[in-house]
Amino acid sequence: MKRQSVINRILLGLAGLVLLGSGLVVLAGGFNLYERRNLTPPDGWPLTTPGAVVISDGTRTRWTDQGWWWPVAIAVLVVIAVLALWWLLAQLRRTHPGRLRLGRPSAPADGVELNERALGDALAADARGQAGIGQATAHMLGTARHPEAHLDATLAPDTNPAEVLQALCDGPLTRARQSTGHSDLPFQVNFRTSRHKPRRTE
Amino acid sequence: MKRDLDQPVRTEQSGTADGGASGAVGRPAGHTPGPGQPGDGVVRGHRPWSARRIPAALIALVVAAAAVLLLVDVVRVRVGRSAAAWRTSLAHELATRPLDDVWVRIGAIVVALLGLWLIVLALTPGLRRRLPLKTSDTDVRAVLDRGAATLFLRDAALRVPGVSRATIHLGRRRLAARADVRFRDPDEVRADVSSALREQLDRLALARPPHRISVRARPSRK
Repeated sequence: MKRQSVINRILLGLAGLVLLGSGLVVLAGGFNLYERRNLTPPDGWPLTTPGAVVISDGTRTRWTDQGWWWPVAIAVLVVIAVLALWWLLAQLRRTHPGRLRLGRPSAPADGVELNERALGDALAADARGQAGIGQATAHMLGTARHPEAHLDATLAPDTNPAEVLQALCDGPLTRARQSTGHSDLPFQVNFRTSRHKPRRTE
Repeated sequence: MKRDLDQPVRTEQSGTADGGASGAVGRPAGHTPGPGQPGDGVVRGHRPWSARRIPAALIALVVAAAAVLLLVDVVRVRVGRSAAAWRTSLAHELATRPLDDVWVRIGAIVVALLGLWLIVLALTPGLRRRLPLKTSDTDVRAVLDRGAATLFLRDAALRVPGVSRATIHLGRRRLAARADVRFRDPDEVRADVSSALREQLDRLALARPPHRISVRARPSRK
């Protein structure tokens, strides 16, 4: 799994736990579960009786007359807002390699560079030339040191995806790997097919 | 008309569709490994895991918006203006409605369900429409759109003589096909459709093919 996926999933899971937990605490108090089931909540457990309110005036203004409260509240809100915006922007950003250095990664830094878009276009054009592929678009993701090629390809009806995939690996992918020197360039293919009417002829 | 033809024929056949005939992609018999493709075994395609960008972006947006709104209002109050109406009424509602109030209960249920949904999103792979394919190279990952796989299977079923219409439901463990039979014995057609689907599944080379194939064949009306 990618790092971003892990971070997103941890944060989503934490948000889910917080929401689920607070919802359940309110429901347990509202349906008076503690008394009905003879449960004794731990000391300081909130919202134990149906008559309680979610946030009483007393709770809300407990520290408002303290000198530190408002600066701390404002600082916490700023931190939350900044972190949430950073998380939001991270979703909109995708990492692109930019320019790929040709040759082995250990080659000297003044080697020839290739624009990622040029490589993507070449890969897509090469893929379109394969039998069984209608349309194809390719783009590069990842970093300059670890680029990844992504190809979206539309399969013609009556093709064999396994054979088309093998042809893609043998042809365009191998050529891209050889021409860039990234001999283990990761390759991700998405196969689709165009909607077509039922056809019976082979 | 035979009685068979009046009744839908329903059978289920078990067994893996992943038979010996389904080679890994690119390992047809006699194929010599190309450059960059060591002759290792079949790589079982991983199920792709979604990055969960959209739910993450939505939650981030909601949290950021709420924090900024509250921040602006708190600062307004600090510089001597009065609090916004939404904040005073929200504080009032939270401080007066008891926990057994129906709106508090509804709100709590909604919040708990939302939390549960987020936990499910965090723990499940997602991308259910993308079926991983077998590959022979660990650096190559391929997926086939579920709709495309369904279309391929439908075309395969339609190539069986006697089938006039075919509907395919491709689940993760089960492939269910329904065929309308215009001529021939539905039992024979069912067997043919079943083997045609099996062959087509082999050709698709799914990393996790459905384990059960069930075919229903019934005579088409009119």
